[in-house]
Amino acid sequence: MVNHPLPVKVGAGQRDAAVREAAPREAAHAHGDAGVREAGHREAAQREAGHREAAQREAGPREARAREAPAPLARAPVTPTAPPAPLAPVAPIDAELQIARLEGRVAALEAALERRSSELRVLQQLLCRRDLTHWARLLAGLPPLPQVAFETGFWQETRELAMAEVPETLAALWSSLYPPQLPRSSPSPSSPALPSPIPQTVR
Amino acid sequence: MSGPRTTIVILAWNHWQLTERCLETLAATDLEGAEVIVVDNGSTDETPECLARISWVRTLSLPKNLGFVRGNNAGIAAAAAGSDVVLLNNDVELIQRDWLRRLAACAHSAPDVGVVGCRMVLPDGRLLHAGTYIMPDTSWGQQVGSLERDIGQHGGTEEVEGIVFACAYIRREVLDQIGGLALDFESYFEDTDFCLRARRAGWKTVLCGEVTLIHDEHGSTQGDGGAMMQLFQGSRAIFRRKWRRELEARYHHQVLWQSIMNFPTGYAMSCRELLRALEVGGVRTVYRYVYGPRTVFPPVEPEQTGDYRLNVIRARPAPRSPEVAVVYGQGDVFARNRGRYKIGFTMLEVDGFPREWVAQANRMNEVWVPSEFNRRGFVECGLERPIHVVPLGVDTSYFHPGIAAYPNPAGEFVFLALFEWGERKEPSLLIRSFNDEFSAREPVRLLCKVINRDPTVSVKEEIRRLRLRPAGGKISYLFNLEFPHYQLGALYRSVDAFVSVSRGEGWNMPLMEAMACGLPAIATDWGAHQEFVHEGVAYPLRVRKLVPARAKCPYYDGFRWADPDPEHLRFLLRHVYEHRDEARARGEAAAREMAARWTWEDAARRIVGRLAAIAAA
Repeated sequence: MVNHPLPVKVGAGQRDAAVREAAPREAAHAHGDAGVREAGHREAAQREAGHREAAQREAGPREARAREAPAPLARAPVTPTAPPAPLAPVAPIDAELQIARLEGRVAALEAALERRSSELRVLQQLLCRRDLTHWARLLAGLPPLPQVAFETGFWQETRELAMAEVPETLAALWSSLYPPQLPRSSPSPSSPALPSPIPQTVR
Repeated sequence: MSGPRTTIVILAWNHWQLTERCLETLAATDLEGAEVIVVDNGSTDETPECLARISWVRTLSLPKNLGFVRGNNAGIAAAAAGSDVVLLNNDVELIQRDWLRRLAACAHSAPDVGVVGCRMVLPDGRLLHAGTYIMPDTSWGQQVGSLERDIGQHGGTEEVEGIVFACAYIRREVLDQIGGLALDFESYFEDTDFCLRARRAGWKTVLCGEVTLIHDEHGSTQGDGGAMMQLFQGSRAIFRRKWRRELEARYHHQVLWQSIMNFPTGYAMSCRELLRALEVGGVRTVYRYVYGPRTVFPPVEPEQTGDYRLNVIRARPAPRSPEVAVVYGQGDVFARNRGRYKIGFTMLEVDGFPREWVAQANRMNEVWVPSEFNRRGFVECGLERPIHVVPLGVDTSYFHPGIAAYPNPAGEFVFLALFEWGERKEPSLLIRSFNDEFSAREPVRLLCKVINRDPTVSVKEEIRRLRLRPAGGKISYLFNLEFPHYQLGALYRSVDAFVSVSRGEGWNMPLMEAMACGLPAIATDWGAHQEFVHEGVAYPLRVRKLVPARAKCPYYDGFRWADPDPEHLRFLLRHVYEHRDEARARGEAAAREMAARWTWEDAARRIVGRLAAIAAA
C-alpha cells in the first residue's frame, strides 16, 4: 500500500488515466459476476427443488464459494463465461414453478450485486487512486502498476533523484501504457447511480 | 599464397571444459578456410586425449607450461607462412558467425592497421573490454568498458592504445616486422607491450566494435589469485622500466585544470569528457576542484570519480606555479585561477554576461567560450581580453545510431524532451503545445524526462494548472529519475524525435547527444546550440522576439533570452510526426555530422591548437 493518508480524487485532467484503468476495473467486476452466474447455471440444473429451497440454496453455496475462492491476488485472468445451456422443454404445470424459481434466483443475484456494489463504493472512498488501480489490476490478472509513476496523478512529488536503469524504466513505461489485452468478458449488470460525490473511476 | 589466409592459435592449459566450449562455439562459425592450432601448454588433465579426438584442429603439444607468451609464440611460429594470426584464449566463446570475416576486413581496411581487437562481454553481459589504455603514472593497464551494461557502446571502429590478447587479429606484416610477443614477460602486459611496439613500427591498433565475444576472464587461472598477482606485479615492473619514459613523452602540453567533475552538472559532465580527451590528445592535465567553501558553490567535492583515468588525473600533484591554468566553470570563480597564464572558460544561456564575470574575465590572459553566441555576448558586455570559441562535443562511442533501443511495442511515435523544470527550459510551452496540437486518439506521445530539485516548486501542481485537455495529445513523464549517463543513448534510440524548446542554452549537451544518436530534433533557433543546429540536420524553431530573462538564476538579471513561437512549435511537431521519412533522414544526417565534426576529440584538438599557440607566443 502506498502511504497516502487521504484518498486521492480523480480530476478532469486525469480522466484519461481513469479511462485506461477502467478496463481492468470493469473486468474485475465482471469476474465476480461471472462466478455468481456460473454457480447460477449449476443451480438451474437442480430442477427438483422448490422455489424457497432454490433461493436458500442460492445463498448457501455462494457462502461456501466465498470461503473456498482463492485470494484475489491469486486469481487467474478473466475468461469469458460459456453461454448457458438451453433449458429442456417443460410441462405447463412445471412452468409456474420454474418462473417462480427463476424470479427467486434473479432476486438473489440482485442482492449479491447490490452488496458487491456497496463494497466497491466503500473501497473507492477509502483507497487512494493508486491503490484502487493496483487492486483492480491485480483482480483482473494484470501486473501491478510500475514502481515509477509515469503520470502526474500517481507520482510522489519529491526533490530527490532516484537512480534508475534505462531498459527497465522503459519496459515499465511501455507496459503501463499498453497493458496486455484482456479477453472480452460479458457485460456486467449496471449498478445504480452512486450517491457519493466521489467521481466514478470504475466505468 | 597457397596456404590458409588466417591461422587461429588457441592456447590451452588444463580446464578442458573451457577449451571444449571454445572449440564448439568456434566450429559453429564461418572459419573461411582458416587453420586452427590448439597449443596445449603442458596440460595434465584430459586435454591432450580430448584434443587428439578432434580432427579439424591441429594440436601443438608443449612438454610443460611455458606461460602465455611462449605458448602463443609457439603457435605463431607454427602458423602457415604468410598467414595472418588470430590469438584466442580458450576461455572465450564466439557468438557471431562472421566474426573472423569482420575482423579480417577491419585489419585490411587500411594499410596502417596492424592489430585488431573486439568487444568482449562477461558471461553476464557486462562490457568487459573495448580496448585498453595505460597511464605512465601507474603503469596499470585498464580495459575500456568499465563493466557497464552492454547497450552497444563502442560499436564502431576506433583506434585504441591497446587491446587484450584474449582475441587479437594480427596482420602477418606486423609479425614479420616486430616478431611475436616479447619474451620479457611470462604473462600480463605482453599484449600492451606488443601494441606499443607495433605503434612504434607505424602500425595502428584498432577496436572492431562490430564483433563481440564472451570472455570468461581468468578462466584458465581462476582459483590461483596469489600466483596471478605475483605474475602480474613482476610483469608490471618490467613494463614500467621498458615503457615509462616513452609513455611520458607523449604529453606535449601540461595544464592545471580547475573545474568541477563529481556533481551532476553540465560543467562537471563536460569537464570529465574534456579531461579524458585531452589526456588522449597529449595534454597532461592536473585537476583541482575550483568550487568549495567560500565560493558560489560551497559543497566539498567527493574524491572518487568512478573512472580510473580521472582518478589518476585528480591524484596528480599540482605544480606550485603552473605555466597554464584553465578555470572551467562560472565566470565568478575565474579569480581562483592559479596559473601564470590564466584562461577562463565559461558559458551562459542569455545574451550577455554579469558585470562580475566580465570583471574577472578581464583579469584573465584569455577567455574561452563554446559558441559564437557567447563570444558576442561577452564582447558586448565589455570584455577586453582575447576571446576564443572552443566548442564542446559528444562521445560518439556512446551516442550513435547503433546503440540498443527499447522502443514502445505499440508503435506510437514518441517525442522525447529532457529538462530541469524551470523558466529557462519552458516546459509549459512544450507540454501545452503538444497537448493542443494532437488528439489522444492519435498514435503519438510526448515523453518528458523531468528533473526538479527546487523545494518551492511542485511540478505536479504546475502541470495541473496547465489544464491539459484529456482528449489532447498524450504525455508521459519520467520524474526525478537519474540514469547512468552512458545509458542515455539507449533512451534516445528508443524514441522517434527530440524536442528542446528552451529559451536559451549555453551548449545543450542532451540535444547534441540525441542528434548524434540519429534523432530528428526540434530546437529553438537561438542560443549556443546554433553552432551545430541548422536546417540540414534539425528543425530550428522560430523565435518571435527576445524577452527579458526572468528566472530564479541571478546571473540572468538584465539580459534577454528567446521567446519561442508556439504556433511554429505546433507546426514542427505535426510536421515531424507526419513526415517521418524526411525526419528520419534529417536525424541520420545529424548523426553523421556529429560524428564528423563534434566529438570530444575534435574539442580537445581545438584546445591543443590553442595551447600550442600560447606556448609558441
